[in-house]
Amino acid sequence: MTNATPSSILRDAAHELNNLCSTILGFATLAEETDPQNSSIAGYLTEIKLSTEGVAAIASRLRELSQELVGTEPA
Amino acid sequence: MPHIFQATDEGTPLRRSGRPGPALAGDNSVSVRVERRAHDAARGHAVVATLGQRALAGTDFSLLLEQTVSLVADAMKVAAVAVCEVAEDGRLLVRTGHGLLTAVAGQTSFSDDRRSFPASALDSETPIADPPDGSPLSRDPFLVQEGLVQTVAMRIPGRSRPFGLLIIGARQQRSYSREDLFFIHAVANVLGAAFERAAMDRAEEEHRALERQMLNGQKLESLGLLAGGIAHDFNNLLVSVLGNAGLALAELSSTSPVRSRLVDIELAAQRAAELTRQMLAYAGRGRFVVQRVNLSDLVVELVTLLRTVVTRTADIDVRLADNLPEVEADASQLRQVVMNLVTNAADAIGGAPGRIEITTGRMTATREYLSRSCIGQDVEPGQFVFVEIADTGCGMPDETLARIFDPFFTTKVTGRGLGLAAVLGIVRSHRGAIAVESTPGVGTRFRLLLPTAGTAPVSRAVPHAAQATPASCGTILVVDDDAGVRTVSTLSLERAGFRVVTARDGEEGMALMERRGDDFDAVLLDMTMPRLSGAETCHLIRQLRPELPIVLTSGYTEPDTEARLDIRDVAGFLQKPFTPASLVKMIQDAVRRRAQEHGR
Repeated sequence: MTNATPSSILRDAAHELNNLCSTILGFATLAEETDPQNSSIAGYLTEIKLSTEGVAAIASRLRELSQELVGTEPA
Repeated sequence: MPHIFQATDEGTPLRRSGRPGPALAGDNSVSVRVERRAHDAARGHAVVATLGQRALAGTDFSLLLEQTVSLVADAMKVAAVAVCEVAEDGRLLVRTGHGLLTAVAGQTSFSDDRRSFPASALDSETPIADPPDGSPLSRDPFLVQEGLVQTVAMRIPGRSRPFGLLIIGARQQRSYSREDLFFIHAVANVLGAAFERAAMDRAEEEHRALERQMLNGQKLESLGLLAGGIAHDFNNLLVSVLGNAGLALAELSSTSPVRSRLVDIELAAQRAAELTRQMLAYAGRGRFVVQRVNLSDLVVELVTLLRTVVTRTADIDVRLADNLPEVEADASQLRQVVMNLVTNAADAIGGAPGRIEITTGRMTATREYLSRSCIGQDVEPGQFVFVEIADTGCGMPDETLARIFDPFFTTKVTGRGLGLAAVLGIVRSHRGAIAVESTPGVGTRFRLLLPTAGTAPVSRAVPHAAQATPASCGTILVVDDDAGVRTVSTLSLERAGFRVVTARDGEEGMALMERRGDDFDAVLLDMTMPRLSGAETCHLIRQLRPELPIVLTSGYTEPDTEARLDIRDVAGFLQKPFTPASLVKMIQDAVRRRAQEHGR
């Protein structure tokens, strides 16, 4: 561990998570649009989207933390 | 008493042959002698000034010493000059020399007996010459060995103690003038200042190294807290994503166009789970199930899987040691380490022909060996077992090598840069070490060292997957504080044929156990819950129903003291986020084994 700082690690982790959340939300929306009449999976897709938004909220908090840490870390 | 050097005013140095100067050979008039002395003094001053300037300019210390002995020998026209340093054990070690015939820098030493010359010079503020015949001072045999007949020694002063000696020697009879003595004195003083500065530089570097070590520790601690703090909630959410995707897939026909979308969702969620797992591992918070592991056995189990990550053009050569001592480790994490290192090796080889060697063995690691390792400088020396992964790939330059364990540092187009960061965390949390060698164009060699377990091996008791067709009947108690996880677990198990009773935390779970404990055939128990933790609940359930299978599940691990449950006490461990399929299989296996053991 030589160059990475907690802030840079958190920022990168948040970036990765946001990408993955976007992917999941995108596919969930596509799944709904592909077969809008299929009521048997609608509830599952709603749960997937809600949980993914929860993950995105965590990623957002990580990004905020990374910004708070910038400037407090030794070079 | 040391022999105080008596300088001569009429000495022969003024007649040195070949020495540039204003006087002609044989001209020994008073005015010529005075002129020559002035010339010698000026030349000496110039040498001292040059050395002082180089010392102040921060010239590399070893280089400065080499330049000093060379310049002094040239200026004084003497056969040999040496700088000796007082070593930690008190010896007078030759640090560097000019014109020495047999001495080896760093190895040859003079006696430290102050009754002998030149060690006696350490007690004098003025230069000391060879003791005359009949002196009680002895002469160090090394001077005879070097053929030195006229020698002068001057201590190199330090603030609290002398750093060493400046020794000037001639192999022919000669005397030293007053100017020579001033010159030797001045050079020794410059050397004293240079030694002082080098000592300060060393102390500063040690301080910086300590600061770096502390900073790294703080980084890891803060990351560990953060990663641990988010992992619990994060993995519960991923259980929900994966669970609902799996349940939705089960509802769909095999030809439904929605299936591919749901599979993509599963893949993305698994990648997110992998990212968290690697972050936790990096921060040293992913360790959970500690057991005795034989590294050779572990590699054998992995070989088939490893071959799938290596291209056809590369060979895997496995060389495993027999009767390897076991290590106390989390086997799943060690598999991850080997997998990550072999994946990196395969990537380094790319599509070109190449070879990956996986070797296990045992070794004694000294403090010196460990101090040179990338990770493990603070590990105690001793007996280790190792697994080494060497490749004939592209290798790495030093600047890349210095960063390979940084999270999110990667040289791969598609890499996330967490593989080696996780390896670092895992090895550190196992109190191990990693040595890395790499040469661009030749290849890279990672050697992972783990301390051997202290006592005799015990049988490994990792629950194995069931081979027979699993049974899906019975009642399962699901204890988890996360509503999403409870729902997904319930739906998944009910779809498989189980009855499910849920509890929102450990206390509610224990209340159910006390009321209707005999109804349950297995328990799915979350480790991280408010009020009564998973470990405490597990302990209480054991008191009521010692034989009841308990499957533990967790999004991350608590500190070791709490999480160190013996794996033999539980039926299995399910890492969150899990899929419905992996949950059902784990519970089926647990129920089937219990039925077999109790003849039900």
